[in-house]
Amino acid sequence: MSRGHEPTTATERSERDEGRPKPGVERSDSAVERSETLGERPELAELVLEGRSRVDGGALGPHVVGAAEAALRRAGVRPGAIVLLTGLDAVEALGGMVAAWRLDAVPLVAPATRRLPREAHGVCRLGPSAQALPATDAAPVAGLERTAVLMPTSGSTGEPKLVRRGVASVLAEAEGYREHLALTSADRVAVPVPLTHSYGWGVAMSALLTGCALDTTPPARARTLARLMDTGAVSVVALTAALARLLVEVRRDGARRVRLALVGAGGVSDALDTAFAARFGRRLHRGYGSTETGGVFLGREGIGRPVAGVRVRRPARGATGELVLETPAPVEGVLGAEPTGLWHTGDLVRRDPDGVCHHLERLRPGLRLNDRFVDTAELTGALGALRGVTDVQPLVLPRSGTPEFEDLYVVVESLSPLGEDDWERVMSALPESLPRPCVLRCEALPRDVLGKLDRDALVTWIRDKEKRGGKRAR
Amino acid sequence: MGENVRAESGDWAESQGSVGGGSATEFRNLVAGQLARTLVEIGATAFSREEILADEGLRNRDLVGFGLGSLDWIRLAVRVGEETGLELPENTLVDAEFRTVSGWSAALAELKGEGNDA
Repeated sequence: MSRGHEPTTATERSERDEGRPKPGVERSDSAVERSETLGERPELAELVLEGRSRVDGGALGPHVVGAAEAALRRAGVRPGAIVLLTGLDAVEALGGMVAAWRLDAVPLVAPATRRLPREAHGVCRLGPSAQALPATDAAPVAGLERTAVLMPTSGSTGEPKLVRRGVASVLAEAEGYREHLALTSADRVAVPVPLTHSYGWGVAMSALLTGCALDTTPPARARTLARLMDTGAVSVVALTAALARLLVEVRRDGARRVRLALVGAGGVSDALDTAFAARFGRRLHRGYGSTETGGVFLGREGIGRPVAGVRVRRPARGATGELVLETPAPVEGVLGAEPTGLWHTGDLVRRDPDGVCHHLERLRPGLRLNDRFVDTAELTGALGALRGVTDVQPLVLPRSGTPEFEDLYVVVESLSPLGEDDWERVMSALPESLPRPCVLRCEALPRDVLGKLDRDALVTWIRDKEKRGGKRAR
Repeated sequence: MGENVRAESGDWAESQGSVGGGSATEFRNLVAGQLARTLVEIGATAFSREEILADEGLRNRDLVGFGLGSLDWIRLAVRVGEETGLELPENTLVDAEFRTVSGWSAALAELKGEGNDA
């Protein structure tokens, strides 16, 4: 099932792939011909189906796609309509997505628990076992002509928004992954990160467009995933740093090793890279991207280098600044925004003289507290600079009992209590315009499998702390 | 639950066998102990293994209710798996009703009882 081979050269890949339809921005003649008769989304569906990929051992063919397509037809889905895919397993979600494309509809992929913006209310919903609930509000949504998929994002104000990914952007991303990961149809790619996240979705789509087999063993089955890697049942694996750290804890159960392991959606420490190499025999590749752009950087150091077609506009080599990119396909952005070919990432990076970029920090937007924006950068910066503090997380929560009023909380991650002197110094230096925050300390912030803050768990922790009177636990 | 149960292949599990007989009580001790360790690590309200074992409410509380993020309970599942050589069924990981000390220990006992670990 797996080859466990070393990466091949571009020439070898080219020879091996000769005769296969080439997905991506450089399309085959047949794909170009088809584009004259099919819309972009139906064409994308055909490109995926042409790959004849197997997902979790089964074909992504008529049985899965056909059933979903028939259900969507019965539900009256029209071209340009939004179809919400939620609560589905990986095979159903991918099948539903291809089915929506075949009808020239726009899939919206979202975790079942995600709060969705108003544009997603009342749309057709495809649930498990190909059960489709017709739309209850069929008002058309403008600006979706070239959109392949919609994904929700929390946005800078905490209000959910829908991000569009264009068909051209999806194909460009697939080409970037295919090239860097040296993917061929002989690969079996494990994507244990959620397909409702742009990173997992992008790698999975790239694998399908290349004709790879896809394994979607979920992160909760970390030991199973480790065994798949140890036995050579998968050749390429897309991880997060948190998941890679978990896998390192699993004892070895076979002598094989993956050809390539990629970590996206967060940074990789040297310690993790070393531990992973010791356990799995491979150093980690790193990826970087966003919901709006998909994966745009890949490499062995920092966040890597831009993938084919992506150019770094800023910062210059050797400089530090916000990462600004020119993309090969327009970034459609949130609904209502004008597509752009120049993407301001909102991330501060250092760009080495040789072009490798290193992520320094997120240029955090302000929080909205009781209907006004507050800038917590000074506070979080001061707390983050204290000895032993490893992270600082500001958040706004409704007050218990009177949710119309909101309070500002700052949770400090530190193994040791904050010193009294440090504390007084930070608080006395706060600007008067900043409401007094409730500062709490925990030894480790709860994180999800993507390594991102698990906000629900953090809120549970804060509420529990409050119940026990720990209003300012230092 | 049985149809969702999966176990490790090979004899690796037995060689690790720190939970000898594999009764529900032994598994409850093990899961409660690992949970207590995790609670200390993440800085959540620290319950001891004994407190968890003595309190039915705690034993049946969704692990998320202890303040564990998904990463935390997956790590807990990994540790339990490494200790026992058994793999918790999918439903005990994703269903809040079963993602409890009681749910996990019952599932492990069922796995062991079915002899699927060898």
